[in-house]
Amino acid sequence: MTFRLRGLLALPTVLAVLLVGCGDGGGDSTAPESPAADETGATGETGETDATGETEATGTPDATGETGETGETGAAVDTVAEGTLTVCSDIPYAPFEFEEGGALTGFDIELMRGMAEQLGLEAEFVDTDFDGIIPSLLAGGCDAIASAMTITDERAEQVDFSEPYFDADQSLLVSADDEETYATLDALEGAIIGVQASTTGEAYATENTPEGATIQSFPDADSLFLALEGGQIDAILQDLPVNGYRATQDDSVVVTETFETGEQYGFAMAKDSPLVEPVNEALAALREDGAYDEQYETWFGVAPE
Amino acid sequence: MDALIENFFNLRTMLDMLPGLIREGIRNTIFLTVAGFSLGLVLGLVFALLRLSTARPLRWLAGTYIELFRGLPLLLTIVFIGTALPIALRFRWPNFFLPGVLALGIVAGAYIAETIRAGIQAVPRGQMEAARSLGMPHRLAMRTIVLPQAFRIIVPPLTNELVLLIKDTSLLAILGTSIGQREILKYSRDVLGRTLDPSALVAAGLAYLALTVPMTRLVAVLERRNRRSR
Repeated sequence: MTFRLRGLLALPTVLAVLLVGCGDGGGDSTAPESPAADETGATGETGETDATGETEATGTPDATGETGETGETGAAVDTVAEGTLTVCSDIPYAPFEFEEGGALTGFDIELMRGMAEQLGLEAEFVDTDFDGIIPSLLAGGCDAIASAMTITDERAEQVDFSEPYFDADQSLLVSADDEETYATLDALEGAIIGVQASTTGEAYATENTPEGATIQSFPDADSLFLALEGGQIDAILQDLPVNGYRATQDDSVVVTETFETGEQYGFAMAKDSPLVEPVNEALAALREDGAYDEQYETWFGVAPE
Repeated sequence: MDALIENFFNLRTMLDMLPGLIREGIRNTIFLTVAGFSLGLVLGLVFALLRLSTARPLRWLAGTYIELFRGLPLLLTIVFIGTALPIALRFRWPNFFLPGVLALGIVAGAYIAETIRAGIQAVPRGQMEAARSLGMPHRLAMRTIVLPQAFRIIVPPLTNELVLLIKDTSLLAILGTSIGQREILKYSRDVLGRTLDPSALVAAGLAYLALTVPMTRLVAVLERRNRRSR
C-alpha cells in the first residue's frame, strides 16, 4: 500500500486523463474524449488501479450522471479521485487500521474495501493524524473518514456520519506489573494517564480522572503504547477494542477496567455529501451478506451481538 | 473571499484562544527555545574547541558528534531520547521538558559547533600569533583575544540557529504533553481539534512570526553593522 502526499490529489486524475489519451490511438491524443462520455464504462471494470495506485481506468460517470441508484453495477458517485474512494485514516490503530506484512488491514480497512467494491470503486487510504482528520476531510483530502471515529454531536455539526458500525466502550490499559495497583481509574491518583489527542478517550479522562492525576496527550496510539512500554506513563485510557487487541498481542499489558459509554463508531463524510446514502446502503449490504460478521469475528474474536 | 476570512481569520476563535496561547503556548515555546539554545551553546563551544584541538582523538570525537547529530532528523533524535532510551534503560523522565530540551540542545550544539569553529578560524591567525609572542598562554589568548572576536563574527549565524530552534520546538509534541506543557503548535492544534476552525493554525503562525521576524530583522541589522565596522 502506498502512502501518498494528498497535496497531489489532483495528480491521479490528471494522470488518468493523460493515460487514456495516450492509450487509445497513439499520436493523435490531444483532447482525449471525456471519459464520462463513455457511458459503457459504468461496469465492473470501473476504477481498476494498478500497483502504484495510479488510476488508469475510464468510465467513471460524471457528477451529472444518475446518482442515487447504486448497487453491484457501479459507481454513480462523485469522488475526489475518479474511480477511487479515498479514505482518511489515522494509521496505525490496531485492530481497526494497521499494517501487516506490508499491506494495510484491519476492521475499518476491510469494511471500507468491501463497501468501495459495492460502489464500484477502489478504496485507497491516506494516513492522517487524528487531530487533523476532520479538517483534512473538509479540505477535500478524502471522501470519507474510516478511523474508529466515535459519533458525537460536536463532530456531527461538522460532518455527516454513516449509520453506526461499531459499539465502542472506553478502557484502561496498564502494565501487567501494575495490574493490582491500578485496577481502577480511581486508583490512578498522582499517576500519569496517556490519551490520544482530540479523542473521546481524552474527553472521558478529562472528566473522570482522579485528583492529582496528570493527563498526557499523544499524537497517535503507537506513541502511547511506546510511552507505556518505556514507563513514561502509568496507564492508557482509550477505546476498548484498541486496548483489548493490544493486550492480546502483548503479554506485558492488561486491560483492568472498562467504561460503558454508549459510544458508537461511524464513517464520516462531508456535510450533505452525496456519498452518505450509498455508503449506508453498502454497509447494509455487507451486514446482509455476512461479510460484516466475518470481519468482526476476525478482528475481535467474537461474533457481533 | 468571505469564506477565506471566516475560516482563516475568525477573530472570535483567535481572541478566545489568545490568553492561553500566550500564557501556555508562547511561554513554553520560548522556554524550550532558550533552554535548548543555552545547552546548544555550551555543547557547541566545547565541541568547536575540541574540533580545533591538536589531539587527534578529541578532534575525532567532536567530528563524530557533529556529523551524527547534523545528519539525523531532529524528530528521530527526539523520539530516541524521549522514548527509546527509557525503554532500554528502564527509567522515567521526570517531565516532558527534560528530554525535549536535551534533544534540542544536543542537535543545536552540533550545528553551533560548526558555526563557532568557522568563526574562530575566521579570526586572522596573526591575532593568536601576536598574543602568543607577547607571552600569553594559548588558553588565555584563545579566551581573551580570539573568542571575543569570533563571537562577533558569528552572532548573525547564531541568531539564525535560534530562529530554527524556535520552529523546531513544535516537534516535541510527539513525546506527549499535558495541559500547561503545550507549546504554540500543539496548543493551537488542540484548539483546532476542538473548534475545527483553521483560524487556530493562523493564530499559531502569527505567534511564531511574532517571535521569529524580530530575530531575523535583528540579524539583518547586526550584519549591516558588522560590515560597516570592518
